[in-house]
Amino acid sequence: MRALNKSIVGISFFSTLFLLAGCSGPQVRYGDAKAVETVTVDYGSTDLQSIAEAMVRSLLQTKVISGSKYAPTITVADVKNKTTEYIDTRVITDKIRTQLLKSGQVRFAVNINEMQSQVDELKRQNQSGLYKSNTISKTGNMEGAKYRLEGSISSIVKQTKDVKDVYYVFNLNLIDNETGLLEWADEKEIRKSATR
Amino acid sequence: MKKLIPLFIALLLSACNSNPSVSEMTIRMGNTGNIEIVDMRSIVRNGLLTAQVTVKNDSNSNLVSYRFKWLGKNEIAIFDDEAWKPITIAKGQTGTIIGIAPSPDATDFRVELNQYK
Amino acid sequence: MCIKNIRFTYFVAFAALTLFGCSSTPPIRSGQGLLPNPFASKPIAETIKEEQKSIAVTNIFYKKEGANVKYVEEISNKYDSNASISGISGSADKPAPESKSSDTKDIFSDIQTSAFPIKFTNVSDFKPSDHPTIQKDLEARLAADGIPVPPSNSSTPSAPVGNITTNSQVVKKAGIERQAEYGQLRSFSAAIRGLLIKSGYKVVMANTAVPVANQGDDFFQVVERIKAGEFNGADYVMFGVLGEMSFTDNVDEIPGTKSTSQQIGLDLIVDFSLIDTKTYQVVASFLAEGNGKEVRIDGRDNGFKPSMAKLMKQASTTLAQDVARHLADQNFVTSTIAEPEIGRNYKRNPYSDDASTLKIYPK
Repeated sequence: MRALNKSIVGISFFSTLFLLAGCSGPQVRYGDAKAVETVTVDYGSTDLQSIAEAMVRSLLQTKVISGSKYAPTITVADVKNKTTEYIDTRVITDKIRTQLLKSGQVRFAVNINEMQSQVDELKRQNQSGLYKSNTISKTGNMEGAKYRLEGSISSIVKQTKDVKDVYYVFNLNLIDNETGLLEWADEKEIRKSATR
Repeated sequence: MKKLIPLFIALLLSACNSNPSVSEMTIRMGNTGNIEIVDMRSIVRNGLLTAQVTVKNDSNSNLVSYRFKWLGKNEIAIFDDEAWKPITIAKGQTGTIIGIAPSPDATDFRVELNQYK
Repeated sequence: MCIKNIRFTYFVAFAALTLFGCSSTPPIRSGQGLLPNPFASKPIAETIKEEQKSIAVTNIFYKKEGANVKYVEEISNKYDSNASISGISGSADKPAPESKSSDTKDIFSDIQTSAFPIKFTNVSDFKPSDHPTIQKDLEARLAADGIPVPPSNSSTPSAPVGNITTNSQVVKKAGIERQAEYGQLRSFSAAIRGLLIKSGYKVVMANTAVPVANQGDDFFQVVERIKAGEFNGADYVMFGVLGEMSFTDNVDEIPGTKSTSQQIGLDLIVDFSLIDTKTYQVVASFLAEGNGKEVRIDGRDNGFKPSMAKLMKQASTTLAQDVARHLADQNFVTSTIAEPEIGRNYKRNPYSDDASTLKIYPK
């Protein structure tokens, strides 16, 4: 009887211990930022990474960049989101721009949406009257971009009772600003499907 | 004269095959034993190292992810880890993976294969 | 076995030598195999430099034209008198003086100076009585001719004595008067002289050209000036004539921001000719452009007033650069002086790893 009591006490003690350990709350872990993400069929981090990488590698191999002795100057224009989801397209172009800059083969000029901070800084240095004139960056000497990057992302969503299939296509064009000619264009297609 | 001939032939033969083997160039993680690399070749196209790997799926599971690791001279990596890219190959199908280096610094590469659920 | 080996080695050696021989071909140098051009003479620039011939650079000649609408109102009085009235030299039938164009010029030419800008006056607006200096002079002139000037306010003449009939005639004429000013711009030639000196030419100072009255377009006659010895014996003269000088002030919005930019510019184009003083041959000829630019963000909102000195300095340096570029085209100066170092965007060099510092750690 005593042994049974002891064992009951022992078992209950350890079981509560295990239960408590299990009920300690949600666990936080760091995951791999580069891992394949398959949470839902919507636009995800793997799509963003694979689009940016494919566009950058293809752009670096084009004759406009690899064939020229000097690094061409590019500016990034808008990437239109033609899907029905919310996609932050500026993140895609920022990623492309970062990877291209790291390769050292192109130079970037500020975008239209970064002009306000550029103009504010020029105004502060040139027109406030507080700066020594041989240490300032003078107004009127900005360098213009020879090319611009423009693109769009669109999707086709098909859904039945059991299957949801989403197809994304991302288009990117490199346009010469002066002549208006398209110097490079590439697209990346992604298909994701979810079954119940 | 006689001794020079075998030396000459040996040099020729060694010059023909100085690349590492496919298994040396592949790093496998997870359960990827059913993926077989059929062909691997690389070339410098427009100043960038371009690698082409042909993979064949021998079994049912067809989800595998890959990425390339780009090395400069002296086998030191020149870029951050790439993102894992999933590819879907049906049983018996061969697929081609093409990787382009991120900058002209890359002179060597490795292929990494991983499973993903 | 020995014989076979020897033959084999000879064969291999022969093959290797031929392969090496075929592998590299010397590049074909341009011009090799072509006959020298018997008509090619030494470029003029080299002869000028070698023989240390001197070049004089003139200040830039200009002519400014303006048109003014002139309105002349002349009042002439004709007096018929039977009795002599003191104060009036009884002259009868003195006809009203014709208003010749030269007369009007005499009346007005020394009052209106050739100061700029020349204003356009509306015909209906111009009344001599509105311009007191002109009115006074008009009265003085008419009085000198012996014609009494009636006071402008009163309509009736002064009390006549005796039997006098007066006929009054008023003549109103309007026309366009053209004025031309000749002169030299003095601020733009110094940079050009400096550029020529840097290139190794011998530069001689030219006399300034003083415009003479009624000279007309003879002011630009450089051949006559060379004959008159105005260039101090220089062998070549660089003669510049101003085409046009414009001052622009524009405001535009800056896309992507809430600000506007005010762009103030001073542009000038100058027609240059390099003339040989002995044979009057034009050795080089081009049109050069200079522009000074000043950009002010939100300038129009804040009432920005530009500095003419800064604009002219920039225009002078850009004009000299453009002259250098044209002279380089025509082989007078080397292009290193002509082209300032344009900031080229170079690609990043591949990583340069110092292989001697490589360390591999064994397990």
